[in-house]
Amino acid sequence: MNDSVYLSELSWIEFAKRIEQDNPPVLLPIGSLEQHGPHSPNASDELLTRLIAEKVAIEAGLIVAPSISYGCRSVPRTGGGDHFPATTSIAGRTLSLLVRDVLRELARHGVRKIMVLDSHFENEWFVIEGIELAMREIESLGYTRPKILKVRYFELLEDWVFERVYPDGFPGWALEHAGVMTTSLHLYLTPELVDMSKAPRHGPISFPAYDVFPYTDRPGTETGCLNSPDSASAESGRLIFDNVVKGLRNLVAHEFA
Amino acid sequence: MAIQAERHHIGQMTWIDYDHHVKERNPVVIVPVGSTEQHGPHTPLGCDTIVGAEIADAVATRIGALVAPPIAYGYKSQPRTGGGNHFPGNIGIDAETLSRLVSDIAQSFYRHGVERICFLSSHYENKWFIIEGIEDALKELENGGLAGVRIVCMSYYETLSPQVRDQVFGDRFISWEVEHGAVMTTSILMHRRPELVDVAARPDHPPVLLPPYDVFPFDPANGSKSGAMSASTLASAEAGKLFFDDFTEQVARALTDEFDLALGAAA
Repeated sequence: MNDSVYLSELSWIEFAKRIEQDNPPVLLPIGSLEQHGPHSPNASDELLTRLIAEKVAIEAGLIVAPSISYGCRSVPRTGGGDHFPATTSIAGRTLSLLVRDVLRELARHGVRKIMVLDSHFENEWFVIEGIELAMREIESLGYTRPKILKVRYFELLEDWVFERVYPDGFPGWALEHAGVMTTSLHLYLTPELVDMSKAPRHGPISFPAYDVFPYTDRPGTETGCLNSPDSASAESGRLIFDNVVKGLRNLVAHEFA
Repeated sequence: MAIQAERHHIGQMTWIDYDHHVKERNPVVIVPVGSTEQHGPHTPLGCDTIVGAEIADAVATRIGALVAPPIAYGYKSQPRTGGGNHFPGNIGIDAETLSRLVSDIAQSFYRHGVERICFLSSHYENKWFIIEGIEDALKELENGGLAGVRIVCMSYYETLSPQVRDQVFGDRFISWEVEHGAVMTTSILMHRRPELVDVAARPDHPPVLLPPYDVFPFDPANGSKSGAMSASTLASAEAGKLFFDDFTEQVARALTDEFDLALGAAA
């Protein structure tokens, strides 16, 4: 029997059998197609989230659904902005509807345990809405309600990892776009997709505590990074990856017991 | 005969007075976006809307802005940030609904000739859906060949100055998420609308700290029982005045910077 963790690589019969036999949790990775600085790839969010999901799925016997590879509009304060070439964004409602539809279909197949694994900052609230809409629709259709977890993998990192990876202090997730965490993960998982010689050296960009539309250029945002990823390393990447995978496995064991 | 109205409330003006303001002064229009959501046993369901309206009024007086009727319904309360949508009295609307409201209102103001708009949110869960509504409005206005409008999206509590935060909380500030129904809004209401606060009923329980992920469906047994996310025993009218004056100052300053206005004297 095909032992792939990817739903897309199973036949419908293999999938049905696995759901019927042990009803494993299904992971739904969500990313973005968005510039990640001059040094790391546009699909960074999707690639890293899926590689983390894949590892957890192999270790814990889960299934990984095809990723949602496009994310919500990048906002300057958190992702550089939507004006960069390659940043290919969808409206929040589009993402919410995508999430709703995929979750409803999984519920229709009899899946009872689902983990939505997100990593693109601007996605968060539209993913929540997608899950809210799915729960309502699943109920009104009379399907059995699954238990759904919404996780941003980086929120599971333990304090000691922060101290090792950010010895000079953590700048906050909003400024970590294409920063030390994702660059480190790439150096560890996909070194062929990173060019550290092109990594920007500028410090954190400061933004006012609100957003202005249409976007106006603020000095310092030209690189697409909001902070320098210079202190990234493959070693930090390994620490982050192992810690996140451990955190997700604990979470699966605890919430889907 | 002129209607006796609060000078800056669009809803209390005639269309003729309003039109005059817009044509003569090119004013900023502030649209408060609140919620109808439980805020503990001691403060009312309209807490966010009331606090947002109070701040909008003070800012409007300071910078000569107009204030639109508030959007009094917000996005669905979430367990980690607001307690959850299961409390009686909570009226949470869909994201699409909130975004459409924002987009439609922005486009109407633009049609009147308003070029400077501020959506001032007082409910944590609203922010990203207001942004979506603004993005929609700009796209639709551009399709109609219109341009030149500038819109600010602000959650007032994000503007708090670190000095005031430290003065009130000392080292006890945890996060805005667990501040729901707690020290800040309780204090502001004690300062501005004391008749709406049941001081004796203020919760004194520890912060409701949930794990760093969301669970659907949420089991209310795991969340806040009081409807507040932490204690408000620190709250006072004095702290409320500090918060209120600081927010008025910070929001007024931000709008003055963004819209190139002159800042009036503090009240």
